[in-house]
Amino acid sequence: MNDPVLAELKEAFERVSYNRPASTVVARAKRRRHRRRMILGAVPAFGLVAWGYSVTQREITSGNQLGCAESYSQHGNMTVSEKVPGETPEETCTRLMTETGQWEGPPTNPVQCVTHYGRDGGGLLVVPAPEGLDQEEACSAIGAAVPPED
Amino acid sequence: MDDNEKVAGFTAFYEGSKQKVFRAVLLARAGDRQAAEDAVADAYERAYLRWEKLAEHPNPTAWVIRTAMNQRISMWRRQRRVELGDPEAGPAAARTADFIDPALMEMVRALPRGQREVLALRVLLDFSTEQTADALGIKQGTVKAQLHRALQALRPQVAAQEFEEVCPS
Repeated sequence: MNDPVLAELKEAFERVSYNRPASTVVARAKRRRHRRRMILGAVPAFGLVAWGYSVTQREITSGNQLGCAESYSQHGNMTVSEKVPGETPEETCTRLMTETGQWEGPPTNPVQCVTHYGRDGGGLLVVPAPEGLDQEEACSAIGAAVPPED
Repeated sequence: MDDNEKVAGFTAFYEGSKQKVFRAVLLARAGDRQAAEDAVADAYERAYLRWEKLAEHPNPTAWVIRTAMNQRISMWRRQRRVELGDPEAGPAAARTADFIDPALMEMVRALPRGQREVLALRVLLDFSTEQTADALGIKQGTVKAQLHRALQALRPQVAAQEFEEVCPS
């Protein structure tokens, strides 16, 4: 690509550098994995037996925001930054996961996303399906009401 | 793959790709360095966690790029830093792309995000049209059209800027 405009653009960005060491990335990733395992480890305390499901950080918010962890993942964390008009939180969550490439669809790791506290905000729960919990069990696991049906 | 092999393999990949990936994400994020750093760091952490699989991926750089470009976490992190009084987290700092000519950055910032993403992959990562289309989940025709539009938008402005530099009023 010999275009002078593109060459100038490339040259300009090549002056910028990113210096985070690999060891920092690896250490942060390991802490992240540890946190995920801690969350999974808490699950049996609810007295439920299922393979491979996980519960998000539970955080109750107010207004039009849903409870959030820092990142999208069907393995543990989920962020829905705002309520989207015309969508349930479950629809938002599923759509965002798909759009952001975090969705590992069936048969590898099918999930359902459910919410508790319905339309008023609250946490999100991510459960593999169909082998995982159903919605009622999942909500029960975090002591939440089953979200109202639309 | 044991842990040492995993770390060694990931580290080699990371060191070989991080600069280009960061620059591409920085361009796609319109020079928002903080957002780009957050997104790139997060994407590489995810890459490490699934390195056993990703090591077999035909283009792990494309996977990291796609993950980084799709991240929407920065606003949460930035908001938290603002709340905690982090001086690096303000709007001015968030828009800082050091070493890049502010005039050029303004031009890039004026482009729609789709065009910036295509520019980032085609120009800074040297991806082919096909690789760019795959990484961004769009059609090859869209890649070509976005690149063409971006160039159309940038050309006259770059030319005008060069004229100003050579012939200041």
